[in-house]
Amino acid sequence: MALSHTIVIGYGNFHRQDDGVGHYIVQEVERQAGESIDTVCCHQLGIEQSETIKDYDIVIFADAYVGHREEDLKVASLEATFTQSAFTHHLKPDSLLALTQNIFQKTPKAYIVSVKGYDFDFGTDLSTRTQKWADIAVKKILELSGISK
Amino acid sequence: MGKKIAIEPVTRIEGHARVTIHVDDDGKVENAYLHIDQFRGFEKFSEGRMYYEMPQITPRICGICPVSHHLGSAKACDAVSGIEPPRTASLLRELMHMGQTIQSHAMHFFHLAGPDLLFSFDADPKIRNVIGIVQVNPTLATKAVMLRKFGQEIIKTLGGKKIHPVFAVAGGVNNVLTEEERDTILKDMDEHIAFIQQGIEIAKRWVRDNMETVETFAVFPTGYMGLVKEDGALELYEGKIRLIGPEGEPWELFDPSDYLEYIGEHVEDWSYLKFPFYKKLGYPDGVYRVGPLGRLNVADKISTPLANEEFKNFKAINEGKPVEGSLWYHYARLIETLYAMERVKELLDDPDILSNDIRAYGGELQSEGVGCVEAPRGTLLHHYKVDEGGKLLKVNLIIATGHNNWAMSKSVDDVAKQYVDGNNLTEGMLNRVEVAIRAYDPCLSCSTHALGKMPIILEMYDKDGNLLDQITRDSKE
Repeated sequence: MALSHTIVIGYGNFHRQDDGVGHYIVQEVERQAGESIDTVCCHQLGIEQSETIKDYDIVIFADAYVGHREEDLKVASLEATFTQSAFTHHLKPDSLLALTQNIFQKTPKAYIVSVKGYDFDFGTDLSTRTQKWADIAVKKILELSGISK
Repeated sequence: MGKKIAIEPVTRIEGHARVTIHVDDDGKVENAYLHIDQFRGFEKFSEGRMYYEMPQITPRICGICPVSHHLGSAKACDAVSGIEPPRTASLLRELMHMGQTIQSHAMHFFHLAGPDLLFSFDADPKIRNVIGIVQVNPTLATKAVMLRKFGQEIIKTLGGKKIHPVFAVAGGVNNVLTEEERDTILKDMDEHIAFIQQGIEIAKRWVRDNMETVETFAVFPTGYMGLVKEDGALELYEGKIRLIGPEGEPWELFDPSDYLEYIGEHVEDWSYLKFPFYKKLGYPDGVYRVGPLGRLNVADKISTPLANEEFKNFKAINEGKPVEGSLWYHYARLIETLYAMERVKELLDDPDILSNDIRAYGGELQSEGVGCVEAPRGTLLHHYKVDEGGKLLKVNLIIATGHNNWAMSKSVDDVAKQYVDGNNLTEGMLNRVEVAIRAYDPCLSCSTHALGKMPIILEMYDKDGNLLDQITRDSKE
């Protein structure tokens, strides 16, 4: 099976422990996949990334989940749907997809890989549970990219 | 019984910011407040670290203006280490700072303020957003994305990445600019300048068409503060801090390292974010505003030609006296964007910017140091105290948005009283409260060191303090 042209974007605050799980996932993807997959690490998504992702076949967003849900790991496909934020420059991944679609008329296939976070205190280590599920998330990402089965 | 209305974007962290509106039995607003609820922890978290780690630690406060923290911190480290960076290093740092200013201001105008200005405050939220702008004017949208990208690319060229760059260090920077990189940045500059001027015309047209709103919406006197050059011109990277009063009367001109003599911080029990004020006048008589409106009010001129022409138009608004209306922030922000773009060209035309002399060494460790830059949102101060080994004993960060805390709350109060009817609440009314806050382009993530989002709740209370209602703006992931 031919490899898709894939980019993985991991985002979150690296200095707030589990909120940095996106960064950890990107680093692991880089280590395991090498140059087969393009990667971006960032604090949060911005409108200029619409120009970045427009030419990819697959875009995978990796982020921490803050809140109450049962699953530690959720992998879901994303549709381009825009939600306006009142104040912050923060952009959700489906909103970024919507921008890409509207500005550049491109809609890459997209997924959100979210790992539940448990500890958001100041620091750079992941909690044990989040790290365990982050490692599983990396495997899922490699599968989605066609690098492993 | 009065009504309680709350607007609550569902949050990653509960209660970063709230707007509370207190109404009487007739549904009329009595008072409204902007509360910042998130605990600030970076100052404590940094104690015990080595001072020279801070240019890498403090940018993590924020994903919107990390460069401002990076550079403000580096300047504090210069002072602690007793080293004056070489001229080339200062030019390069300022170049990065201009990239930051351009991308941040462009982002705010296009993504946040633009929808209100192009579609009106009462437009359907389904179109009153950046997608609406894209659909109505795709060329404008594309140019805005490319302008933001331009600013981000400057940061990435110099610092290796767009957010949290690794560039400024105590005594200088760690990377030179090559001729090829310089020429790449210079390419397309004229097109970007033309686009910024187009944005200015949009802002001016909107003001002309909505002058009654502009003259009454969150308009109130305050002091103003910002950096200025020696000749009083707008300055974003170096210079002295100028404070003026509501009529433009001079209050103070001082070196940033002396800020504690002039700036105090007041605490209210309804907010974790403090309220800075001019000490000699006390609180609240000494409150002031920063950011684009503050900076253009304190400046005598702008050193670049195109921006200076617009600056003259700005000064004419109130016949040379400070401009008070909060909505004028949008116009001021675009003028600064134009200045930053022209300044990029000046910096790149300076032959010293390609020099290899990028770092100085051998200073004597000082017990403390202060670094100051004009972040896109306003004056940013980093103050570090260290022990004899360079370990941080105390850190004080006065964040740009923090200076505007009183003004933002006052704006919310004014606008709520003017537009909100608790008996007949409409989306447009609540949007006006948001417009008041948006004018300041606050970075509450920054001022409260949060996870990166800015959640906000709007609550309405009756006269007995009973919570009546809440409105959710964003959705949980």
